[in-house]
Amino acid sequence: MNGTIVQAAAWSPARTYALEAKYEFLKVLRMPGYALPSIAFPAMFYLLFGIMFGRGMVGGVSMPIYLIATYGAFGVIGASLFAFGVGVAIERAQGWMMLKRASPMPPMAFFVAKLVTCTIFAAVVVGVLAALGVTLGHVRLPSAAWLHLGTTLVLGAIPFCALGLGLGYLVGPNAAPPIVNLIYLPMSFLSGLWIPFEILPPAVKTIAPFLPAFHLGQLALGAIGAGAGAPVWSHVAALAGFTVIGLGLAFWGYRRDEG
Amino acid sequence: MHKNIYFIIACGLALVGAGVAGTRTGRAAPAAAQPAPREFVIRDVRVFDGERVIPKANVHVRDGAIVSVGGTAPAGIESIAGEGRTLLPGLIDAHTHAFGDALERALVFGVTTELDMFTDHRFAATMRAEQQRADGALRRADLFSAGTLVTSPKGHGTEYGMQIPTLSSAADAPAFVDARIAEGSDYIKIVYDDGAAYGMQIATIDRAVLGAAIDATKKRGKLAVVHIGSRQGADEAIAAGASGLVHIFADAPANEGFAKGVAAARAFVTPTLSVTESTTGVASGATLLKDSRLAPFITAAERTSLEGRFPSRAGSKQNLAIALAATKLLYDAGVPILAGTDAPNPGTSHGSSLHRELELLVQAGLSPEAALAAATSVPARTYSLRDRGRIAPGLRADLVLVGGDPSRDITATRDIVTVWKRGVRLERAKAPAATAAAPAPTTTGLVSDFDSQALKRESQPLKGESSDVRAEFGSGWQISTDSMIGGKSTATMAIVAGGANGTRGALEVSGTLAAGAAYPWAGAMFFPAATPMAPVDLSKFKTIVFWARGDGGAHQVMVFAARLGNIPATQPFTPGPEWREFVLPLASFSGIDGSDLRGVLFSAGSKPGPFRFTIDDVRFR
Amino acid sequence: MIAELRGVTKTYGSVVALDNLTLALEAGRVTAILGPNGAGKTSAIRLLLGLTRATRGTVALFGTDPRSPAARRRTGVMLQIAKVPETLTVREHVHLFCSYYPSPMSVNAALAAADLTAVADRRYGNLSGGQRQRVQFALAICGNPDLLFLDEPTVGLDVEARRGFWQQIRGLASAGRTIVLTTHYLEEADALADRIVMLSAGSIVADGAPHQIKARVASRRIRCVTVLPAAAIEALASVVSVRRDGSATEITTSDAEHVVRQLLFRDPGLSGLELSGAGLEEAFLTLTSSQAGNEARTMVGAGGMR
Repeated sequence: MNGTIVQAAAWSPARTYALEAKYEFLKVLRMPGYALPSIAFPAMFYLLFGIMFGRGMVGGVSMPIYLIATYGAFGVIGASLFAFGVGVAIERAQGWMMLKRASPMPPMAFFVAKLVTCTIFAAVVVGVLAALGVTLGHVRLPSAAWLHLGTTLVLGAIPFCALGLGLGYLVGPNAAPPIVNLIYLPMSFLSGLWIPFEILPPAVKTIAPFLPAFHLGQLALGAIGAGAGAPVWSHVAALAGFTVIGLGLAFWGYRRDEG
Repeated sequence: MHKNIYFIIACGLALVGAGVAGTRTGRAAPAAAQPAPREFVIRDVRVFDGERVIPKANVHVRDGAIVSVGGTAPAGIESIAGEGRTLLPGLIDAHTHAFGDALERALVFGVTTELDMFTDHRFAATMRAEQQRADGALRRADLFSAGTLVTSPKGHGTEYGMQIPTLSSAADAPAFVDARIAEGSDYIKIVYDDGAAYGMQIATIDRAVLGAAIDATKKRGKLAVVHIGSRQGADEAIAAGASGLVHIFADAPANEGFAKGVAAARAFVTPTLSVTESTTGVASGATLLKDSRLAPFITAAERTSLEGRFPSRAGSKQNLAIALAATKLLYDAGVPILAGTDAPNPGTSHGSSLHRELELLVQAGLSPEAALAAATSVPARTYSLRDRGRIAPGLRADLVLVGGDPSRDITATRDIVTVWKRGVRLERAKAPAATAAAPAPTTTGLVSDFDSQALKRESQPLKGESSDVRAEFGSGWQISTDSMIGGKSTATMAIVAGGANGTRGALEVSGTLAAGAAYPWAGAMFFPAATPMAPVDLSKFKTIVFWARGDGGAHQVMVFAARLGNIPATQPFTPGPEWREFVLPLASFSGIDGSDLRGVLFSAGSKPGPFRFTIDDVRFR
Repeated sequence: MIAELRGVTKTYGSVVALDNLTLALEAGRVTAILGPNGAGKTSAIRLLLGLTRATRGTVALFGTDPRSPAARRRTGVMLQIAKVPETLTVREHVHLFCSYYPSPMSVNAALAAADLTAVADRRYGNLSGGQRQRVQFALAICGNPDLLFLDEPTVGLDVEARRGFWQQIRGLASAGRTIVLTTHYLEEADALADRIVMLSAGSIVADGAPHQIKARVASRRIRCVTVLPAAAIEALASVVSVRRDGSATEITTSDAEHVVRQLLFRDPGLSGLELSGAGLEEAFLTLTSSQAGNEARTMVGAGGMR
């Protein structure tokens, strides 16, 4: 068996990163269990609560506008936690990670690929919500606000990728989906991403600043002028902190894997 | 290695802690250009929370929202004495027409939100966009609007000079409603009134169109509110499924059956007793002018409006007692009653009239608390304004502090101590003393003959710059166009050779009138006082006389007077190809008597497109 | 020397997986690492691949740290893993792995080499067990690696597929690649390896060419048809094991002549007598019997082919 030895077309790390990202995206896109809920869930919630039953004003803006920011955050957080949390947990436990580690794949390519995939899904979620909002919810925002909101949400995926990563290194593949759901859904609710923060009972409001989802929600709302008024740096600091914690946990888990 | 990881995680926790702390203490940086602090407590104040009275409580406000009602007041923040006073939610006027400075005026009188029932939808969109910003609209009431109303061709709403689309058939209703919603209408107002109750005859949509419009609106999840003018109209509107009526009738009495029917249909009613009173020939706002708690804040233009009334017509059946009784029956049947004024119709004015409306509701038989609720929690709930209308934790800090107890004496609402919009105190400026009109600075009455200036001097002076086209008295000529209200018309003026009657020079005014502004205009204007727009007493003259020739289009002369506010009185003139003299009696300009003239504008007519005319020898005679 | 473990000890908590192990692998040979579960095969491979770190000792691959990209770019790996992402096609998997290597095979050549051309565009999730195994093989060879690690490569394959696989390995070996495989199919090790390393309880118990190992254990195999019960035969001195194979009986012993005489004495009607040199099985059993003997016997006794 003599394989034809080919000098790979300009073998370069860049090509590997690109291919890794492309196939990671395709792989996830073809998983209806991930792709559909990531996008359909927030879209459905928004349609229901933002457009069909969303009347009135909150935080100084109409409900459809307010909920684009919060459900956008909800969607972005879900996409990140599931891609990184559940995805990594499963791939770790089933040995695929081990094969990739043993191969010449640059380790960063793996994480960059996941990050890119996650970012694309985040952008799609935001796009779908925006389209629903503009066409069905009569949402009108200045383009600067759209840009601000989109950038905030897409960048805001990063802390949740890090947290998901930490989680993925700590839990087993069977525990991962329920644990991620157990964290994701209550956290989103308590952070004011389903029911607007202004309307939550005061006891819940004191918990919210300890949750990363709250800070992303507030940054997104700030982009459209409906935030609760806390300074931007406080949210950024909290999210940066969570990113560091997530990466720290992932690092620790990675070392533990190596034995 | 493990040590490193603990350190990393500790750093992360520290950052999170910083973030949490920063969030909870609110803004760390000093607020830019906010004269009043954003956190305060009103101590020991009687609170009407939108539904009932709390005898004494501390109300804590921070960053535009109410933090708590009752409970101990935190130390170390600004404290406002509430002893003996009452705190109300910012008042909501549930039926107005807002344009110009209406919203700023409303806030002075404690009205923090207006539900407009017909205005220029672009104006509404601008207001909406501004008030959605975190620090927007701090010095005016918030606006929610129906945008363009739904009416038949030549129906009520088309007589104001604004070009609006109309609805002629039931089949067109869905598309019409969609177009209004696309323009930004928060709810849809439909006019169903043939004018018979006031002794008029107005074109109106018929029952089929009414039903179709209501159906189309409700299908799209919006409230369909109906302007009716008669008992019969009200019956038919309720039967057609109206979400609410934005007037009460005054022509035929209501009975319990009617009230129960409205209740069963789960509809609401905004009686607008103030304007109804004006339709009976009584100046509804006159008593407000005598109230020393309000009078200092009422401007001259508002005075004119409050003193106005609708002309009594033969055949008018309007009877205020019927309206009051109907309101009481509806209230007793459990129909939500909302306080609305229909400002700025004759007899009313933005903001101040809501206090008269509250008084009329009590006169009709509602308790003062019910009247207060009609201007606060009831409209908020009806129109789904979830963040206002009550004093409760988490809601907006739109608040009015009044002296006394309006739950016992409803007129105590006029004794306004402080108004807060989004937690920011409003500086309530007293109305400027009406500038006495200066005596006429001229004996001849000649304004300009354009003969003594150099020819062909093109002049487009901006506001504030002195004009190059001089007049014999006053502050000269200036270009004025609808760009002031967002229009796109343009105009220039130039002194040209060849005046009327063989004189040397004349003033040529030319430009383009663009469609799009609510009231388009473009032309040249002169001011009779040394300060532009200050009033001058020219009542010894009876006419405005001038020579003109031009493009044959129908143009107009607009006269501004202090008593009219910002809306001029208008008379048309059509300059033909040959010089012709035009004589316009001052009396023909409705509403003025010449004693307080502020300016005279020669403007293109209402037809969009290029225009050109030349005037000469302008004088008062 | 292409890879080396030097004085390596690997512990997982209190369990010692490898005990002061030194092992050097030479280029261009097929080396089989044998041993029962828990012998340390998996740990040794993981150390060589840089997937885990030694508690004590050093590991070198191509003279450098096994985790270095340079080392990994010359290595192809086939692990006994359950889950390759199922939503990508065969071609896509191979394409991606090819891109990791500086001078890989073309994707089509790799697919052909693993006999996957027919299913190249099918998703991994839609493949049969044998096809999946071949995909993992393709991922291992597609980079033209100098060193191939194959961990239990023929588990679950039928006899024909296994023999086909052996052919490929032999082909790769003759092309000069170094191959390290772990297996517990003794027949496989016997068929493929130039060198066999036997591990037991974390140490090397035998190391050499197959015939050398077999010779270390001077045991023979007797096959006959007899009425004697197994228990009676086992009771004879120097009998290592007795097994029935249909109507025949197979006896492993270190002193074949003595046992044959005893059999003939006790059963004059004995027939079908065959004598042969011991197989690797026996060597395996003997060599490992002192430590994990019971386990080994169970494994072999269950037919030897797990």
